[in-house]
Amino acid sequence: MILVLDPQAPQELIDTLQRTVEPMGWRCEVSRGEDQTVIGLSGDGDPAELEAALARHEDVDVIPIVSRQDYQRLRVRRRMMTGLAAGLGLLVAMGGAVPVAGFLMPPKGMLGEGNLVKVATASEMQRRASKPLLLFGRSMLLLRDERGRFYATSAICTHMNVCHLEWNEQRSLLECPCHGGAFDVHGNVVRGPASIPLPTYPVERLGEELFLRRES
Amino acid sequence: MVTATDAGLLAIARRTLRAPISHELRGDLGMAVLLVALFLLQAFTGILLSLYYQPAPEAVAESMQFIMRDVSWGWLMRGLHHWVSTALIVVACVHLARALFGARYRGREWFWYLGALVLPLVVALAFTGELLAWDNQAYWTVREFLSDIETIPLIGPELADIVRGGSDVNASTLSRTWTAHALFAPWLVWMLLAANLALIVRDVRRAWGGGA
Repeated sequence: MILVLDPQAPQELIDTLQRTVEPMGWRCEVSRGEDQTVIGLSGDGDPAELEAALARHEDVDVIPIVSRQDYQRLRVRRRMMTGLAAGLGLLVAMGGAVPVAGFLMPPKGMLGEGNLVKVATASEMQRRASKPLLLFGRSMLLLRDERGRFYATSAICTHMNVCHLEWNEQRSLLECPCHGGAFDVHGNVVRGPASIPLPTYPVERLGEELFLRRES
Repeated sequence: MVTATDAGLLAIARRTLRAPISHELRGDLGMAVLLVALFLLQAFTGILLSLYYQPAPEAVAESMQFIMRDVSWGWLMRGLHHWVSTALIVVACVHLARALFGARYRGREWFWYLGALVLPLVVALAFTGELLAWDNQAYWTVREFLSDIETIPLIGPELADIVRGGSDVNASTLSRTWTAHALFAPWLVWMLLAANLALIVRDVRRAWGGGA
């Protein structure tokens, strides 16, 4: 057992302690340090009796000595826990880095070199096909009609400026699922309740690649 | 154990981190660490969200839609920020209530007082955060809130004007809400948490007999 005291503990206190514990079968080894005064107790007294005897001394900490084996086991356990915590922390940090990096990266369409932004290749667009685009902060639809020409329109119905239009392949119309409005590929209103034409954007073709032009 | 070269902030930090924790305080310390971690998470996601959020009435809705729809992982950041704000209130309440009913504030009253100051700030942060959506619900909540403030005797009308930033709810109300949410309240919370940390350091040093 070890008794830990204040570094400035008075000699009377130490003497009192010695007189208390020596009859219980402990031998005292006093060591005065800078941070604490330590009294090492050796012998085969009863630890419970010791604790009870010193309970009224609030300024004395009674610390049991662990065996060498126990100490090793505690050290290994502590090292394992530290490693486990560090590993888990690293995993969480790595997992968190992906969304954070993605979040910091400005969305596509905000980027793009020059004024032309590549949106598709001609071969990936079947006739009567549509492709949703997100460009310049807008939702758009890239469309190809039955004669093979390309169009780009806004994907938001002009009636409430909320609903996303759906491409009807059979009728080559953009239809609004909310209130049934419809537009053709040129943005003209074909059926109400919308009354304002749909904004359209010129598609530029260079060889196989299709581009939209950034508006200034 | 501690040598003469062990001085300054580093030594204090090392001592504090290695200080033995009494058994009855383990739960409290765990809750406190959880609170700080949640608050750090809020600061982090909040800073990220502020990259895209625009506190101007005509731009709010679009910028929030942009975060949710266009920015990758934007839904995650906003969702985290939203739900952790609620979790913060719950954890703060439980933390304070545990200390109160366990009577563990005895001899550590200032810990509890500082915590009790943090709680209304956390609630205020959640409240102003909801308003930053600046939709219909936020608008009417602000009006309700302001008419409540106006009923405070003597200073009510002036206080309402300060919060509103004008004679009616307008763009400057939103801008004041934003400043309170993003700049003012978080710094107050950090300062209170720093004071709390100072208390912990003080207690550790006392336990070591005033050394270092």
